[in-house]
Amino acid sequence: MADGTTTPDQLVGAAPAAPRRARVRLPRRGSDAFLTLVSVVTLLVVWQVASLLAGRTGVSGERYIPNVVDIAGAFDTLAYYWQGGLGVKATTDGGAVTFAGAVLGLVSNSLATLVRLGIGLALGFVIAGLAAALVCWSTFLRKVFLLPANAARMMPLLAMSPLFGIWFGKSEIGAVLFIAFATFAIIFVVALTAIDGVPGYYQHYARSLGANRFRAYITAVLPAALPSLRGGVMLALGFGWSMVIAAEFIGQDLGLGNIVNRAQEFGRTDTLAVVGIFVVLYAWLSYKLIAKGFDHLVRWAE
Amino acid sequence: MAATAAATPAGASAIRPRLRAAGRLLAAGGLGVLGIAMVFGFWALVAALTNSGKFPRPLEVLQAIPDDLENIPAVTYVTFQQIGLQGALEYTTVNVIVTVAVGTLVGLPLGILMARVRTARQLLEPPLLVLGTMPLLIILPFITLWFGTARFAQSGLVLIFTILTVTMSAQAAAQTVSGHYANFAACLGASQGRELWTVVLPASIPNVLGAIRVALAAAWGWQCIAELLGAETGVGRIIGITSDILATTDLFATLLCLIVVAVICDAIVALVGGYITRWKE
Repeated sequence: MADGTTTPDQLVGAAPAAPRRARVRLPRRGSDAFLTLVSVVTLLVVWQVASLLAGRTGVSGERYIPNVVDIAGAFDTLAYYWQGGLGVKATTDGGAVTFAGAVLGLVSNSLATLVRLGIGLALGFVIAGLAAALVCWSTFLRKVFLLPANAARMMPLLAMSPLFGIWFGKSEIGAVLFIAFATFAIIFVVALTAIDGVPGYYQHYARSLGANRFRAYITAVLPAALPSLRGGVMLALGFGWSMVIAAEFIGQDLGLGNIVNRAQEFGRTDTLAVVGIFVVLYAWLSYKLIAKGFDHLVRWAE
Repeated sequence: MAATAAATPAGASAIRPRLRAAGRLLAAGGLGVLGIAMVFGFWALVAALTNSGKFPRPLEVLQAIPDDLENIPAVTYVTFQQIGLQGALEYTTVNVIVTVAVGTLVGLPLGILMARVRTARQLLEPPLLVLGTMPLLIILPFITLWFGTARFAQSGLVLIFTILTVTMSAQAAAQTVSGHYANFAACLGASQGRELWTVVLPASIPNVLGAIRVALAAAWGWQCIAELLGAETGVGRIIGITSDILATTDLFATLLCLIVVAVICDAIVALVGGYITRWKE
């Protein structure tokens, strides 16, 4: 069998089959790498063919599907999003489109996005964690809040960005609170379920060893719930990226979402693709970082 | 007589657990209603302390719902079209349900294929990994540029998210089953097709149902943001217009109705799923 499990014939000790022509088999690791390579090459070929077949937009003359060459050439367009300074003039002040301007444009907008995302996520995690810990202190309150928390899961969080625009204007606080709110809605319900899922005997053991109810809750129940939060944390991070792009897309003058918005307005598919690649890269790095940090935090878990 | 006397306690003992379960369900429902009431209470408190133009009171919102069902005057004033809450909800709900269903029909066989065939897994994993890492909203501008405001294009994000979620879940479930239950079935002489149809597929269903509920919960958000950024109608479109003209009461009424519809849809999926997997231990 391809996956290395035992076949029924081997299990029942069937007679050896008639000799078959020997086939050359690649070692599994080499074969896996080859198939992955085939997949990546196929993707690139399909992308290139689709790019040629899809044609160009009527607005900017850019390809509907930019290919690798278009994307590499479009990096300099990020110079349009540099606000000026550090010896490089903004294009709006008559500065030229340069590689240095593009790098500064990318770095400044990426930093703005990352700071918003980081603060929003941290705020959401802390508030949701504290609220869940407080609510779960009482079994009664936990049961009371389970239905509203599940209903909150269904909120169209991404589309609520305009509401935060009404409440806070196009301010930094509004964008950060929007991300924090979405993170809260996801983590609160996950934390409630996680704390609810901790077996009762954890607390009983701690109590029988002399801990009072508060100490047993803080030192036994809450840490025991942590490993179950992993999925929720990763989900909130994934949504956080979309949230920050949405917040910037609709109402911020700096950030990767703002570049996406303006590139879409001008039909610059190549700039959109460049930003998309960087967002995917940042998101991938953030997943790795958070996953590693979380696994380190709960390294004691079985 | 003796038989009747013996039957009564046995019957009573059979009914008692059911009564107890019904009592627990009622108590949970009552506590849930209390939780909702507490949320409304908190909302009323915040609304009383803030500007009512920015944060409408719950009663105003509840009163606005029947008025907005057929036509939302503020929206008509801006769009010169008669757009009501009912029509918008129907549009969004149909889009979400049909797309999640299509995504499940694609994702389930794809996940099982990836679990069972190594070549398929190695070929499909890289593109799925890239899509899974990508914040989906970044794809939306491309979808809008390529397909405009067509109805199916609005559901592109929901479709991608559902396929990804269901595929990953079905793959994980089928891989777990393949190593254990499937070997038992093979030992008993089941063919590969029968093993797939009678063992792997049913055993994957509970996990897939969980994934469908996750996808459904997220789908409302993806659908609404797609409609908000470029649709002729739908809940997202209403959210966009009402926020532009600061009609917060209508905006809250729309959000509240959407949440209620979403919770009902989730409950239906959970009920149907519970019935389908009633064999589960």
